[in-house]
Amino acid sequence: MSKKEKRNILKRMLEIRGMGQVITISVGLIVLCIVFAFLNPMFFSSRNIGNLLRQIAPILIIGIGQSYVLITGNIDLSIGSVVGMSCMISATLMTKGINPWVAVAITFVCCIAIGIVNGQLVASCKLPPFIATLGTMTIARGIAQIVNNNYNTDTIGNAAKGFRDFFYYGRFLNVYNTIWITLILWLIFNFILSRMRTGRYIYAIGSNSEAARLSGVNITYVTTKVYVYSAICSCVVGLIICATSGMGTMDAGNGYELYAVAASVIGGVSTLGGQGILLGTVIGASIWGVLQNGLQFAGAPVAIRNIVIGIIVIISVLLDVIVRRDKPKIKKDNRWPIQNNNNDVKA
Amino acid sequence: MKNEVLRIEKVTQIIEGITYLDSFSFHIFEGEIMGLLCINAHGKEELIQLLFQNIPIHYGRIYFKENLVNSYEHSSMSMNPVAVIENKSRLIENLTISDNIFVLNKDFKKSIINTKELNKNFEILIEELGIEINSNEIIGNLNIYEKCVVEILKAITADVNLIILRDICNFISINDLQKIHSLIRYLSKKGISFLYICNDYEEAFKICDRISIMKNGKVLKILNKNEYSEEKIIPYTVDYSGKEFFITENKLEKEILRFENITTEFINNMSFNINLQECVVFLDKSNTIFCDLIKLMNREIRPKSGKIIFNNMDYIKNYYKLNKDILFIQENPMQSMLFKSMNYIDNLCFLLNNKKSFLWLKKNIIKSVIKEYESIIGEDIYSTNISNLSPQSLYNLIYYRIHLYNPKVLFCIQPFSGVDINLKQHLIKLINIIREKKITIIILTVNLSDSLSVADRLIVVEQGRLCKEYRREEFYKFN
Repeated sequence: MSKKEKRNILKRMLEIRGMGQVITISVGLIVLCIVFAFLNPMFFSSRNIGNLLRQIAPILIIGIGQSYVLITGNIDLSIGSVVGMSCMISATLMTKGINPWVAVAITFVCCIAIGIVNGQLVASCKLPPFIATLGTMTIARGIAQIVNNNYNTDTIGNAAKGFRDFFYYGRFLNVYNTIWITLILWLIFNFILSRMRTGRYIYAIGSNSEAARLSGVNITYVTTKVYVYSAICSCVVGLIICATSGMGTMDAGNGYELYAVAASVIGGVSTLGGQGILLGTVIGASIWGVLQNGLQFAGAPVAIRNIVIGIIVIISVLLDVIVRRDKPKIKKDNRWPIQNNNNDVKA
Repeated sequence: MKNEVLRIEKVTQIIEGITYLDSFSFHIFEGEIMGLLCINAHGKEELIQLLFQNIPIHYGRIYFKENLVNSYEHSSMSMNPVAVIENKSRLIENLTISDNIFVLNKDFKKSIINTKELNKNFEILIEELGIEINSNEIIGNLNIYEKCVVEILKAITADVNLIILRDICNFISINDLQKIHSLIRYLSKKGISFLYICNDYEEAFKICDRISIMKNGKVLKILNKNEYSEEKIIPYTVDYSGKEFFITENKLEKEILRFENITTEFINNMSFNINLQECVVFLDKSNTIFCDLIKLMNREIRPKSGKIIFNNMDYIKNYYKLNKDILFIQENPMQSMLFKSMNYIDNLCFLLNNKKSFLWLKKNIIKSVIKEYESIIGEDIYSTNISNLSPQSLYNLIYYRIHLYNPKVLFCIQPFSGVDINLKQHLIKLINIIREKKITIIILTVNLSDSLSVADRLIVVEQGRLCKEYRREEFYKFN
């Protein structure tokens, strides 16, 4: 491969769907790690790295779901509540003596139902996604509360040991299962987004839904699918939380929807739709995790951590806006913006 | 014998009591470029919709490749294999060319995308067309001409029966239009049929095999190639070459705007001056400078070198003092410059607010505006809902708003774009009314259309450079 070809590939890589921002934030992540390692040498200890990765995993999983939704130009505010619902349904069923894997299956069905409702409300009923998912957020939280009569569940007990090992405590090749689950989910969803027709449809809807429709894309089906993916991701995180604590807590996943948005946006997924890659979400979730972990190590109180993370999110979105504004929409052609002339001017 | 691709037989379409298509009949053969010259836009949108989808009609029949697809007896609501290429792109900006052409295609059934295979298919597709585009290029990085070519390629790949090109001269520069014309000609020889919709008969003469003249949703006449002449077409159109449209020239030779060696990313060392009360048309043959020109005047960018002198002052340095004397009328102003939720008088006085603070509290000013303009505008001035007004009234509102504000310079961006022949006539009158108010007008366009009928001077720009200038008496020299 000639130097010119290599340069072209690099140039194209930088142009593709926010790769430039991914590289920029990767540098930011490395700097953060160095700073926290400098503040506390234990930051890079194997024990802390393991904990850090397990801390990042749930945020990355819900970040994947939220990234999918954001790329279609929508938003999913029900993520946190679906996490809570998943945690409570699975824990309640297990405490009632149901086989843990049957409980997991039932939980998935319930969460997928929420995803379908979200998709239908947004795509078929044309509700603004913010409002539609705000509604389902409340509904899902209500289900999480009602499922065990407004109480947290008891411990899921020894019968669910296999379940707890599978989702949290177990290891494979000396790596925690949670990290394996996250990795597998990321590979699957990344493959769908980058290599499959569905992925192209998702970008197409976010970029220009009318053009996508005219190209034969079933907007309702694809949007619903995306919300279902998001619900599946939330469900997995709910199960991880359940496995971690060994019980169902009604406020599990509280505020997770915002963490998911933060991970996606820091990772370069555009809130306007049509742009972003899941590699960016990995970096976004990592920055979130490193900040949480590093600030905790540095002894910063929770309030300060929240403020710092909030500032990082705002800066990320600001960067996205600046980059979009400064980048000429049509590079080779400096034509002024054209209005749609569909409604012809008639005398 | 030529195969028929489309036949429309006496189609009548009435929507909410308005007849949009009135016994509309025509047919297109395989490999034919059929022109549709719209005297007014009445029924144009409805015709395109009808070709696109088999929606109910009141009378008549539509056949595609000799198959009945729509009739007054039964409309299936199915989509027809037709592609429309117009101002509004149907491409996905963030995806590559091959994704747009092959993956976003109704016939693409594979779940997993093989990029190499797509690239190979693309190479085969463009091999004989002599087009040089990289299949992995993101659509957002293409220029308008390339996007148009990609849309045509997408249509060919989707195996459509008919490609509708709608007013493409409104958004494609003169140079690129010639390239598109040669591509269309080549494809038509390969058997692909086109419906070429435009408002300019000279443009239609250049490319079409036959031309249907449409007015009020009815085909008035179909011209064959041997009938292409101005005399044949004038009876159906409006002749505004007459002198009644030109105001008597009594211009001052006083300069109002001067560009001194201005250079930006797309403007190359450009110098020119505009005199007070002059009407100058800027024709950008390669469509590259207007964005920068508008940004410069709005101080969104600064020149790399050179100076802009406005009213004998440095425009960039005194921007906040001088910018109030410059106004813009955007392309398609009915969509972009009116506030549908405001009433007529609020729209009319909107700009005046910049000159008079607390304007809306000063009822006497509003009353005097109504008094002054009522005689010109008529009853429309009392309209509370401007959505109900005719396009002609809305154009009055846009131009009288400028008239009331009385700036020193008015920039009109593609004023004749998407405007039907009847409305063009009205627009010329409005521009002349603005000129009578001694306002300098600068028209920016990529296609001359009817701009010369109001111009004193034509400045031709190509690749960011000023290449030629013509005074009114020299217009005939411009080819």
